[in-house]
Amino acid sequence: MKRSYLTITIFIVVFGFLFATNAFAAPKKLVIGHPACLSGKYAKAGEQAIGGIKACIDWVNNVYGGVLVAGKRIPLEYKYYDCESKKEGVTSLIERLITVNKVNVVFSAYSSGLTLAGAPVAERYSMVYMDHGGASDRIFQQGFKYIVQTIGPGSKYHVGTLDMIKYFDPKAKKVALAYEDSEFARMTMGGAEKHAKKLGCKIVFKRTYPKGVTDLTPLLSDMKARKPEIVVGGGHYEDGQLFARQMSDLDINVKAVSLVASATLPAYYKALGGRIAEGVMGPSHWEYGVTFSPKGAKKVGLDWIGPGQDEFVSLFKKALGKDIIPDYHAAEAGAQVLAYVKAVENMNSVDQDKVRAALGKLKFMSFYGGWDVDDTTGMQIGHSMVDMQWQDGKRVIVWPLEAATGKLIYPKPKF
Amino acid sequence: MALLKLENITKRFGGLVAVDKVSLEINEGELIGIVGPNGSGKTTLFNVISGVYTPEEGKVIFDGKDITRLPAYKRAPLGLGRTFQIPRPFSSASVRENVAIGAMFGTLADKVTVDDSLEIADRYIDLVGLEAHRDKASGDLTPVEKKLMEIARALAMRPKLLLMDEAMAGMNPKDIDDMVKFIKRIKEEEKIAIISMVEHIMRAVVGLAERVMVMNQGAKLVDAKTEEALADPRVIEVYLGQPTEQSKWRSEVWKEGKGEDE
Amino acid sequence: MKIFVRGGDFIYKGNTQETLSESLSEVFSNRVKEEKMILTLLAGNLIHGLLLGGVYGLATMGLSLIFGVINVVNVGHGQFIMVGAFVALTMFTVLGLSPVIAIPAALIIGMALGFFFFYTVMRRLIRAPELTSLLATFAMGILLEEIAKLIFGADFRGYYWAVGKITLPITTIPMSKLYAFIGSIAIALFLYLWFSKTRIGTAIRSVMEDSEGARVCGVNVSWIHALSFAIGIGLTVMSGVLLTMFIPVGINPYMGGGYTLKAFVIAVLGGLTSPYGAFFAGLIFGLIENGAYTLFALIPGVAPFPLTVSLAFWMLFFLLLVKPTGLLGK
Repeated sequence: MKRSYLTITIFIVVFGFLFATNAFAAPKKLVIGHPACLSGKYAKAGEQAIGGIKACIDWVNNVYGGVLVAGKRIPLEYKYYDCESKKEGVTSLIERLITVNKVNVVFSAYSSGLTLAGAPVAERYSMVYMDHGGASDRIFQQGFKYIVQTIGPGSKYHVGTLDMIKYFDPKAKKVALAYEDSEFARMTMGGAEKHAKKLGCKIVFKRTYPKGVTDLTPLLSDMKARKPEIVVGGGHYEDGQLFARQMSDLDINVKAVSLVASATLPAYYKALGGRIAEGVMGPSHWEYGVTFSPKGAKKVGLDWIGPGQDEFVSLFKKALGKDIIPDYHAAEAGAQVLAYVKAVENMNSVDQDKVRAALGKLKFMSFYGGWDVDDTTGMQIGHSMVDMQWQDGKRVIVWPLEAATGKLIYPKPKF
Repeated sequence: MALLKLENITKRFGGLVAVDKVSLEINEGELIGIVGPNGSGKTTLFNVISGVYTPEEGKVIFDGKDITRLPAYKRAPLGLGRTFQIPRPFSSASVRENVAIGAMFGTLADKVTVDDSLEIADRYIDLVGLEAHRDKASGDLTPVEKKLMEIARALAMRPKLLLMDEAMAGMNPKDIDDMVKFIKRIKEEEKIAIISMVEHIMRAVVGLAERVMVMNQGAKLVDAKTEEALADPRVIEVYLGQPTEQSKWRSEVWKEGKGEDE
Repeated sequence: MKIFVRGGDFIYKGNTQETLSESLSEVFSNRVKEEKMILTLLAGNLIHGLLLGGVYGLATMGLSLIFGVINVVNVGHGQFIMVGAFVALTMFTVLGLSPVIAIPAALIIGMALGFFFFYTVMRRLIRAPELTSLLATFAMGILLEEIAKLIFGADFRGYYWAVGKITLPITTIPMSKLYAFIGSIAIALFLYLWFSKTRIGTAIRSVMEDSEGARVCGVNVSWIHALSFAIGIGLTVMSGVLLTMFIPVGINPYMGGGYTLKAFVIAVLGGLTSPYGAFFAGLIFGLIENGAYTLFALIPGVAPFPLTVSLAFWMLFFLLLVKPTGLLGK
C-alpha cells in the first residue's frame, strides 16, 4: 500500500514538474541569429536582407503583436554580426550566435557558398537553419536535416526567362551561356542548359569564368564570334556589372541579355552609368509591383500572413533609414521571418525539431508570394520567379504575364 | 691657412677607441700620405673627414668652415672628393654618365647643366685614358679601369681636396708606377690637395707624398717628411715588430720607393 | 553509311561518292572558317591584352622603383591603385571631370601620400630587416582600405565615360581603353626621359646603383629616398586612374589585393629593380593573359580562365629557373 502511494506521488511530482517546465517553456523573446554580410562582396545584397528582416520583425512585433506561443504574445529579436562575406566569418559567428547569444533560429548568410559553409555548424547544434540567399541545389543534396529554403533553387532561375523569350519569339534559337564559376551560378547554368535544349534551342557558347574576374574581354570576344541571339549568365553583383559593361565595349548586340543576381539590384543601373543597362534583364524572386494579396491567397486556398507590399516597403525604408526600394533579397529574407513565425505558432512550440517539422508542412502566402518546402530536403517548391527588365531607368516586371507591370522590350536596345 | 685641419679627432664605437686624438693639417696643393697597419684607424679617420662618421670629440675644419657635423653629401659641393679602395661605380650607367655625375653634384653643382656635365666628363675621361670605353657600361670595366674611372669621377667634381683610399690596391708593379706618375700629374695640373691612404704599398707614398702621417692603434705615431717617417724605428717596429728586420725593411722600402722614375 | 567527320557539329550521313567529296569540302571550308575565326579571336585578344598590359606595366613601375631605390617591397601596392581608382571615380561622378584630368590629380595626391608615409613611417625602416618594412607597408594598405570604406562604403561602384569606340574588323576597342594605353606609354616614356636626362633623375639612378658612391659625389641620398618613394607611390596611384579607364566597374575599397599579386609577378618578371623592365614585363603579361585564353579555349574540356591565371605563375617559375634576376634585372 505504502509502495503504490509512493509511486503515485512520484508520478504526480514528475508530471507536475513537466507541466511546470512546459508552462515556463514560453520564452520571453524569440531571437533570430544572422551572420550577415554587412561588408565585403555581398554587402549590397546583405544590406537588403537585413532591411527585409528588420522590416518584418517590426511588423510582427508592432502590427501583428508578437508571436503567439503557449498563450503568450512574444516579441522577436534580431541578433546579427558582420561575416564580411567570408566563410570563416560565417562559421565562427553561427557558433557564437548559438552558444553565446542563445538564438532560437539561425538565418544563413547571403550566397550559396556562405549558406553551405554555415549549414554543418547549425546542423551540429540541431538548430533550424533558414536559407534566404543560397539557391544552389547542391546545398539540399547534402542530407542536412535542419535546413529550410525560402529562396527558389538556382536551377530554376533562368527557366522562366527562356520560356518568356520563346513565347515572344518562337524562332529564337542560339543561346550563349556564360556563368560565374560558383556554387549557385553553376546550378543556374545547368538548369538553363537543360531547359534551353528542351525548348529546342541551340547552345552556341558555354563557358564559366572565375570569381573575382577583372576582365571578361577574351571570353566575351569568343562569345561574340559565335553569334548568339540570347545571352544568359552572370553570377553576382560585381561580375554582372563587368559583363554588361564589356559587352557594350565590344559591341556585342544580341536580342536579349539576362544576368542573375546583379541586373535586378536597384543600384545596377546607376553603377553602369545609365544607358548601358537599358534592356538588360534579370530573374528575380520578387519585385516591387507584384500583385500578391490576402484576396489572392484566399483564391488559391492559402493562409496569408505579413504586411502588404507597400507596408513592407515603408517598414523597409524605416529599418535602413534610407529611401531605397527593397529588392528580392530583402523580400525573401523578410518572408523567412514570417515563415518562422507561422511555423512556431502552428506547432505552439519553439523546440527545434518541432519547428522544423512545422516548416516542412507549412504552406502559405505573403507579400513575397507562395511558400512551400519539400518536407525531406527543405527545398523551396512553392515559389515562382519573375523576370524584370530595365526600361528607361526603371525596373519593370515583364514575366509571368499575370504578374507583369509592363511589356517586354525585345529585341533589347543596342548598347 | 690650412685647407684641411683636423683638431683632436676622437671616434669611438662603443668601448673601442678607433681614432684617438688625432690632429693633422694639409695645405692647398699638398700631397700627403696616411700610413698604418691594419686596424690603425686610418679608414675610420677617412670616414670622419668625408662625413660618414661624426667624431665624439674634435673638429674638422675645411676651407675655414667647421664641417664636423655636416652631412656627407654636403661636403662634395664644398670641394671634398673621395675614392674608394674597392671602386663603387654605377654599374649599368656608361663611363661617361658615371663621371658626369661627379660634375653634376660637385663644386660645380649649381652652375652646370646635364649637357655641360657630360662635356666635363669627357675631358676627365680623356685625362685618365679611358676614351676608348666612354660609352661602355661601367660594370664591364676591369678593376684598374674602374679605379681610373672613379678618379675621373672624383676629379669631375673639381674638388679642392681628394681623399684617395688605397688607390693602388690590387695593382701590379707596372700599374702602380703608372699610377704614381698619373697622380703626380693631376696634382700639378688640377692643383688639388691629395691625401693618399696606404696600408703597405709604400710605393704609393714614397716619391709621391711630401709628408706622411703614420697611425697605430688609432693614434698618430709620427708626422714627418716621408723618408724620415718611414725610417723611424717606431714605425718599423709597428710594421714588423722585430728590430732585427730593420735592415731588410729599409732596403725593401728604399727599393720599392726608388722605382724607375727616380 | 554514316561517317563522323571533325569540323564543328557537322555529321555526314549519306552514301554516294559525289556527295561525300562535296561534304568533305564543306567540312574543310568549315574547318578553315573555324581556324580563321580562332586567329581573329587570338589577334583581337592580343590587342586587348597589349592595351591592358600597358596599364599593368605602369602600375608596376612604381613598385620596382621603390624597391630599386630603398629596397622596400610595398605590400600595400594594390591599395594605392585603389586610391587612384577612387580619385578617378570621385572626380568623374562628383566633379564631372574627365579621367584625363584625374591623372595629374592622382599624381599629386599619390606623391603627397608618398611623402607623408615616407616621413612618418618608411624613413626609419630603410636599414631595418625586411620583415619590418613588409609589415609596415601591409599596414599602410589596410589603413587605406578602411579609410576608403569609411568614406565611400563597401559598395561596388563604376562610371561611364562616353568617348565612343573604334570598330576594327577583328575586334571592337572602346576609346577609353585606347586612351589608357596611350597614357601608360606616354607616362613611361616621360619617365624614361626624365630619368636619363635630368639631374634629379640621374641622381635617383645613381642611388639605385650605389647609395654610398652617390653620397660622396654629393647626392643628397635621404632626399632621393623620400622623392623616389613619393614618385613610386604617385605612379601607382596614377595607374589606378588608368585602370578605371580600362575597367570602369567594380571599384570598391577591397579591389587592391588582387592587383598586388599580379604586380609582384610582373615586377619579378621584369627584374625587381628595373622600372623599365617592369613596364615591358607588364606588356608581356597582358599579352599572355589574354592571348592564352584563346589558346586554352581550343583544348576541349578545359576551362581557360583558371589556366590563364596559373599560367602567369608558371611563367614566373620557369623564368626564375633560367634567369633568376628577371628579364632586365641584374
